[in-house]
Parts: sequence; C-alpha cells; structure tokens
Amino acid sequence: MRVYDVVDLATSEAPPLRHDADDIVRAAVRRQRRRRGAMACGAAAVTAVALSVAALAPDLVRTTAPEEAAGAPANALQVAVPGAMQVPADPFTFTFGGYGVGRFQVKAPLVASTAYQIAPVVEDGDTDLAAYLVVYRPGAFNPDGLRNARRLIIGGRPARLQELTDIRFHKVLAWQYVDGAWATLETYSDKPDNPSPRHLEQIALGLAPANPAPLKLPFKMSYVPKGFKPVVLGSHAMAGMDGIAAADDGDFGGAVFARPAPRPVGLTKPWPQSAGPALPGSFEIFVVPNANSNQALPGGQRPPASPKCSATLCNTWSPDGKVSIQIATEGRALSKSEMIKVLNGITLASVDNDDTWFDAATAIPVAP
Amino acid sequence: MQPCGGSCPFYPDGGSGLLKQDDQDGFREFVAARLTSLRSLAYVTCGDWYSAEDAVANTLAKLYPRWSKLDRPDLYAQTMVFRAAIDETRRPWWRRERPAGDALPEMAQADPADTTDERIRVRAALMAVPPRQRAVLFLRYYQGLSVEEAAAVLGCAAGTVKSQTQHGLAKLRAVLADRIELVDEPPDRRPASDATTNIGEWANAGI
Repeated sequence: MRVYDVVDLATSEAPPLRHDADDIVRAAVRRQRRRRGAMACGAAAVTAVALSVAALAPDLVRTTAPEEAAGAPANALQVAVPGAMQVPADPFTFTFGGYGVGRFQVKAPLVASTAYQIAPVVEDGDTDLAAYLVVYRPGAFNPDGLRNARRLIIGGRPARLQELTDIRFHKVLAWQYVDGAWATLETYSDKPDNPSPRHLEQIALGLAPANPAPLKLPFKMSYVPKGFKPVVLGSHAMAGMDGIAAADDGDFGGAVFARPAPRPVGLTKPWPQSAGPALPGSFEIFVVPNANSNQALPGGQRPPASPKCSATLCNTWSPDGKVSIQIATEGRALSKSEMIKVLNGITLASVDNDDTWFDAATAIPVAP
Repeated sequence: MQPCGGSCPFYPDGGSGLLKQDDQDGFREFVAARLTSLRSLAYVTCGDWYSAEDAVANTLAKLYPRWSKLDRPDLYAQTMVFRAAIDETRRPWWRRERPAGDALPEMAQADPADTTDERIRVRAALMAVPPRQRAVLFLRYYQGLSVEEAAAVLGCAAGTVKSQTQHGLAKLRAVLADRIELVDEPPDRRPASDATTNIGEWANAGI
C-alpha cells in the first residue's frame, strides 16, 4: 500500500461538513467588520475577534480575559489555612485555592466531582503548557495504576512520577497529601524539561488547604430523571476536563449526571467526558455565553420559544439570548422528552453576579 | 461600520477591511475548493474531525482580510491550518458542547470487503505517527508538495522535512508491518511551482 493510499483510506470516512463556503465567508466578513469596528472604537480588538469567530468556530477561541473576569470564581479569594486538607462530606466543595510557585500559577479549582477537585495550571508567558492539578478524595486514586512510574518521596510522603511522550512531553506527578488521599499534577508541554520534575515537586509542595467553600452553580434544577446522580460539576467552567481546558473562556457552569453513578475509587485520571469514551448512561448540561457556544444564536436573532432538539441534545437560551443552555445525552440515556423536561426545570441565576448563584447542594435536587 | 468616517488614511477600502466583490468571489471559490483538503490536513494533524473543521473555519475567517495580498493562499492557508490543528493537539481532552453534527444518525453500510476493518487499522497506524510527521507525510505524499513547499508550510528547514519524512515512514511501516506492506515509493512530485519564490516571504513573517 502506498502512503497516499494510507492517508486516503484513513480520511475516507469524514463526517459531513458543518459549514460550507458561504458560512465561512459570512463569518469572515462579520469578523472583519467587528474587528475594524472594535479598533475604531478603541475597544479591545481581541474581544471582537473572539466573539465574531466564536459564532462560527468557538472551539478554537480562547480569550485572554482577565483572571477575575473570566475563569476565577468567587472562591478564588480563598486563603490558605493551617492544618491538613479537609475532606468535607459534600464532595462538591472546594478545599484549596489558587497559588503561585515561581512562574507557575495554580488557578482556583473550577471543577469538582464525587472523586476529586480540579484546578488549571498555567505558566507565565507560555501558552503552550497544558496542565492541571487534581486533588482526589481519600481512596479515589490508585497510585499503582500509573505504569512505569518512578517512586519518589515528596514532603515526607510517597509519590510517583510518570514521564511519557505519548502526547507531546507528558508528565504525571502523583503524591499523597494526607493519609490515603492523593493529588496529581499532569502536564503536556513542547519542552522536555519544562516543567521539570523539580518544578512539579515545588508545585506539589505548594498545595495548601483553604476554608472549604461549596461549589456554586449559575443554575438550579427542579427535575432530575429518576436514578441519575450528579457526578461532575463545573463552576465558571463547563464540567469536567473540557471546563479546565477552556478555563479562560468565561463559561458559566455545567454538570454531568450518570445512572448508575460511577464509584469514586481506583482512578488514575479524571473521568472521561465528551472528549473521550463518555461515561455510560450519562447526560451533561452546559451553561455558557451564547457567544461561546458552538451552536450560537446568530446576532439579533430571538431565541426560539421552545428547545431545539436533535436525537441526542437539546439547546435553549435565556430570554435575552445571551446565555446558551444545552443538555446532551450519552447514547440513549435520556429521551428527547426527558431532556426537554430537564431543561424546562432549570432556573438561571444572574450569570454576571456570583451572589445570586446557588450552592451545589441546593441547586441539584438529588444528592451525589 | 465606517471607523474612519469614510475617509481613512490607513484603510484605502474606507476602513471596512472588506474585500472587493471580485476578491470576495475569489475567496469564496477558494474556500469551496480547499475546504475538504484543508480539513483533511487538520484531521491528519489533530486526529479529530470536529476539531479539524473548527480549526479550518477559524483559520479561513482569519485569512479573509489578507486574501487579496497573498501570492500563494493555498500554502498560506495550509500553514495556518496546520498550526491551528497542532494547537488542538496541545489540549488532548478538549471539547466544547456537543456539536450538532454529533447528532447525525449513523447509517449502516454494507462492508463486503472488510474495508472498515482495514480503514480502522490504517487510521490507527497513521495516528500512531507523531502529529508533525503525519502532517509531513500528508503534505508530501498526499498533496504532492515539494520538500521546500512542505518546509514553508510547516515553518521548518528542508532538512527537517526530510528527516521527519523518514521518521514518519519508519514509524508507519513499523506499525503496519504485520498486516500491510508499505510500498517504497517517492512522493508524487507536481511540476515545479512558479510561485515558490514567494514562500519565504510569508514563511518568515511569523504568521
């Protein structure tokens, strides 16, 4: 077989294009108009580019909104407190805050699940680093599941370091932060030695407890289909790893429910989500700015009176069209009528005012 | 909006930044003609069809205002798409909401010749090759670019393209070894391009 045939066969089952040439030209013109308009007004051109392109392809748009404005929730101001990390009964609680180690910044956690909390990690001046810190609840992480990992001691406690080249230069540092409970720092970088194992260790040693703060959601629900339980929530972010990857995008929140809920034990990494093999029997809610949505309402168009659905998802919007709410089912976990029933039971907080947001425990009518 | 009030020294087009009708038609034709192959380049690089299409759509929207000034928009677009697709590989878990395309019903198709199995095997083998090497193989063997053109698209030296080609072929051959024999065949060379002299102009422009 020739290389040409390999490529031809490997690309032979492309899904239908979602955008045609006319869509792209329209988006380009819209982008250009907004860009020039923004420049003329002295406004931030970056914002205009992001908004206009987001209407067509928001997946690629990563805005550089200021920390306080976009990804950082109210609990970003949590301060470290002495003592060991607490393990609250309610898993949807943040127990640490953001902190800096040299040029690395661990942001405030944005995602919590029944097994862990996750915070994005960034490096000053380097947008190539993709990294995140996961603090697992006791028993949720299995350190022996990290294959070919070196055994280390960090802070007097056992640790493991896995160095891989499966996707870029990929490192996983796992360390025990209290008896029976582990945290991991996972990094993907273009540079083999940055972050170095020493950097990872320093970041690990910087982890400190903060006063527990309940995860807050920008919505509350009156209906959850029977048997489903909340598994992963996102505050100022989509739920799960998608929310961490898009931490700076200014998304509002999200939730993943599953039936049965997976047991929070034996993990070596966060649960997969829409990016990978999804949690079986699950559905997910996304609450994002319409401008961020990959199915955004065109500018000026009024939201439809009822949800727009396909077989596996339904979209609806706030009355002013500024907030997009999607429910998506994995496989046949939910019927279309159930998806609509869930959407109809959602009440939005004022998304721009954290004070109106709901503690997870009151936002969701079923316990994890 | 006319940001300069209709008279703008910096924008001869009156400040709109929009293309003239002829150029816009040309841009539309270019997009229509190249959309599929650009998406394939992005897919081969990043390994996900939806991310690939988003990378291409985003890239083409950015290319629009520069369209009338480009001598080789084909290579320029490939450079931008390649870089956008590489960006996609930097966050391997990354997706947004479910795109509407996910909801398309899957159609059962007859597979009398086991082509699906072979396609899956071949796709897996190609994806086992590192992303930049995959892109090199795509550009040289599938698109028929010369070493110099591929180097310009990828923003690297010709020698790097040659070594990436060798490494990519070796990896692909090793992964396919037990099932499919990879034929030793030089890439199809197109006739020498009359515009390759322009490559360096934008390849070094820090696109």
